[in-house]
Amino acid sequence: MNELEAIEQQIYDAIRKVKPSLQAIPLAPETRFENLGLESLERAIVVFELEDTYDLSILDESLDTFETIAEARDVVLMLLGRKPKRAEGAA
Amino acid sequence: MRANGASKARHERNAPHRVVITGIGSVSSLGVGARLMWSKMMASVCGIRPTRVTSGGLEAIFPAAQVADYDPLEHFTADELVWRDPYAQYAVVAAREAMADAGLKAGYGDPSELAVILGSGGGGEHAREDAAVRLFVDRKLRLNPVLVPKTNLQASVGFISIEFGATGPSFIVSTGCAAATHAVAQAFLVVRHGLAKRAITGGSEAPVMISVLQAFQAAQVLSTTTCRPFSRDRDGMTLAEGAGVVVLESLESARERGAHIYAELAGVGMSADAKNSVHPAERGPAQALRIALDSARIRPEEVAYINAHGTGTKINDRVETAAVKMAFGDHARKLAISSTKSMHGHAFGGVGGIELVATLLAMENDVAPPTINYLGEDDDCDLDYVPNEPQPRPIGTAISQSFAFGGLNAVVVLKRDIEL
Repeated sequence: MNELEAIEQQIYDAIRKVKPSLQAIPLAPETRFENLGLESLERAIVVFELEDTYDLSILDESLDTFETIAEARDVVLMLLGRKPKRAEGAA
Repeated sequence: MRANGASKARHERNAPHRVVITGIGSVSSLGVGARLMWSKMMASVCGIRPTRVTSGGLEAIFPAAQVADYDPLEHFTADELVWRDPYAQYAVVAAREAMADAGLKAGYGDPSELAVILGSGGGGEHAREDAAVRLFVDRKLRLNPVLVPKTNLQASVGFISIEFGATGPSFIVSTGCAAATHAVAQAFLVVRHGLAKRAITGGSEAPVMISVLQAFQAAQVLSTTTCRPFSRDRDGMTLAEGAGVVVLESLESARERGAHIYAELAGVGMSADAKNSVHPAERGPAQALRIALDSARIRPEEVAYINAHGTGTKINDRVETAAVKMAFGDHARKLAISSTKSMHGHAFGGVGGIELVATLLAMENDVAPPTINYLGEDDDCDLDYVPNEPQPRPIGTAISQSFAFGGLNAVVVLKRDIEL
């Protein structure tokens, strides 16, 4: 699994954690958030899960701007690229 | 002026309506369901067990009473559980039972005529403790956006109002251990004054977790053995989880529907001790009892049974006994008074609802439920506490009472026979 696919999988996991009934629904990069029936707060929880997993702050960037899983993935990828490398064990 | 019973077709605002109870539901350490709880009470079953709680790398073991045989997925979808802390789940499950028992479905009648008024001392405590661990143990500043809707005290009321489409007066009452009984008293006033025809009321709580247990242990009110109210050698209360919910209804509404009536909620009394934050004083509860009897127009001698607050602490049980003597005089020795907390434990803001359900079933069956774990008479507690075994006796009129830290007291008076 390459980095892009790994991030996509994290997004799928976050969506299914927020809305477990989507477990059986196939998700793909082109899946649109609006088609998943997520309320605004549920979408915020997906963002929270991604922030938590990657130790990022997506909130200021683009909470309401990404419409598809691919766009969310690209935001995460961009922020990961921008993230400074830190010494292991730093808080 | 009194309402004219079934002949009143139109629901009058600001007119005195008689209030009856037409549905009951409960969730407790004695199981899910009011009648299951009652059957366990009749067998003197104790729901209190040694309970191990862990959080943030710490662990503690206390006697406590968690809800028995409860699988959240039997009652909610996985999606719904993301939003519902246990205290809100229990409230919804008990409300569903009470509404079904009353023969009421979501969308019945005018939605603005259905109120939802519940008690809770702490709201979503489990989610709150998890957040504290995340912040201060895991040292993560970001918190889950669902935390606020999950922890707020009124979440239980919101879920129930949404589920049943209730748009009438809806709010939470938070007076700790008296919250459910205070909530029932508020619902009584709402229905009595015609602000709604019906009300889903009672309370729920889910405080069995390390932070709450340690806090109450520090206050030196928790038992290290079990809950034995009014007994010699009693050593404190035991925390519990659960919910007790009833459906209140104006008498004319119940008659119109042909609903089964458990009892008339004939009157309520509320008071404050205005003495001490933690030590109760008998004058406050005695005053609430007298006001409740007055408002119900019932003489003390008519009361056959009191479901006591009976926490099992030295001071509560002594003061409660003195308050009952103060309010009832010689009749205090003739009535039966028991604490069902000895079986289902102390679910704080929910326990008044559980005890109200137990009281209604005591009236239905003409049996006083027992105070179990009772070892014998104490110098300060010398009334008939229905020790260890249920006691058959006619119970036409009964009381359920709850007292809270801060010296806050609430009493409800129930009457089985509905006179026209």
